[in-house]
Amino acid sequence: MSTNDRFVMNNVPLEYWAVIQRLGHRCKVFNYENSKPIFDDFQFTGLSNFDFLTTEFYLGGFDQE
Amino acid sequence: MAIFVEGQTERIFVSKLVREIAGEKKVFIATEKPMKSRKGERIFTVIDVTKIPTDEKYYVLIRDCGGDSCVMSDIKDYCEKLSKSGYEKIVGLRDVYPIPASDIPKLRKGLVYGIPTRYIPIHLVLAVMEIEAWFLAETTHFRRIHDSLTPQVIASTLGFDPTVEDVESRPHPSEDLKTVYKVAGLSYKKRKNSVERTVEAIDYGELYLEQAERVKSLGEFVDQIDTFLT
Repeated sequence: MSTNDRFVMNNVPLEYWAVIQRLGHRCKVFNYENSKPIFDDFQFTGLSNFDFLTTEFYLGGFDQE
Repeated sequence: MAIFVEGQTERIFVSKLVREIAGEKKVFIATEKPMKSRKGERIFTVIDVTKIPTDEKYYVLIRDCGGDSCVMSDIKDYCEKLSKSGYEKIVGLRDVYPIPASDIPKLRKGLVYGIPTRYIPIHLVLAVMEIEAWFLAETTHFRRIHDSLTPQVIASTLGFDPTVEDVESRPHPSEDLKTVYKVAGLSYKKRKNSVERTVEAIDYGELYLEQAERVKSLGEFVDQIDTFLT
């Protein structure tokens, strides 16, 4: 399923996520397979899954802050 | 001051602790929990107040966020609004568990990620490894729960003496409480009456004067309340 719903996102474990970033006519996908360290690091923020998206943590983890 | 906690145990304990530390000082405490609105939105609703507010000098809001992964997100989402409402500071309290002790430095560093710092001072306290470590440290409370729970019985049951050893080294203190209470045929479950029984049995003078010195994370939390009330 695709969603932007907070409740759904907070109740689906991150390892089942695929975040799609649109850059012009291209799409980039971030998921557990291609971004495992970032996905694993998120637990140390203490934030909810919804904020994985809102803070754009998926882009670079702690390195991008 | 607004205190964001992860669940019922913390909510019940923190409310009692603030009242005990404040003593005769004029403190009004409101406690909130998240509920679902008719539209399915998550909103905070007042579930308890100490009394009808009159001329209290200190106002403490305790927000039970309903989960460890909600504490930081709720602080992030509400810090601006609380600042505009006149709050002086926010304190967040959550357990380290289930994250292992070896990752505490990483957790301390990571918890500030995405948290705005421009609106209001925000202090994050990690209960190492769980808030139950603080209950474990206040060993006099066990005899008030049941006469048979002497320091000798506790030490031999756990293979660990919480009166002198470091309670923050225990990986799962809530399980330790459960193990000790079981000796007296009692249980420790994260249910309201079970938590209230423990919280009411604690000697807050002992906790404040002795254990806050010995248990680092408890001392940090007590400091936050103390500085607010002075």
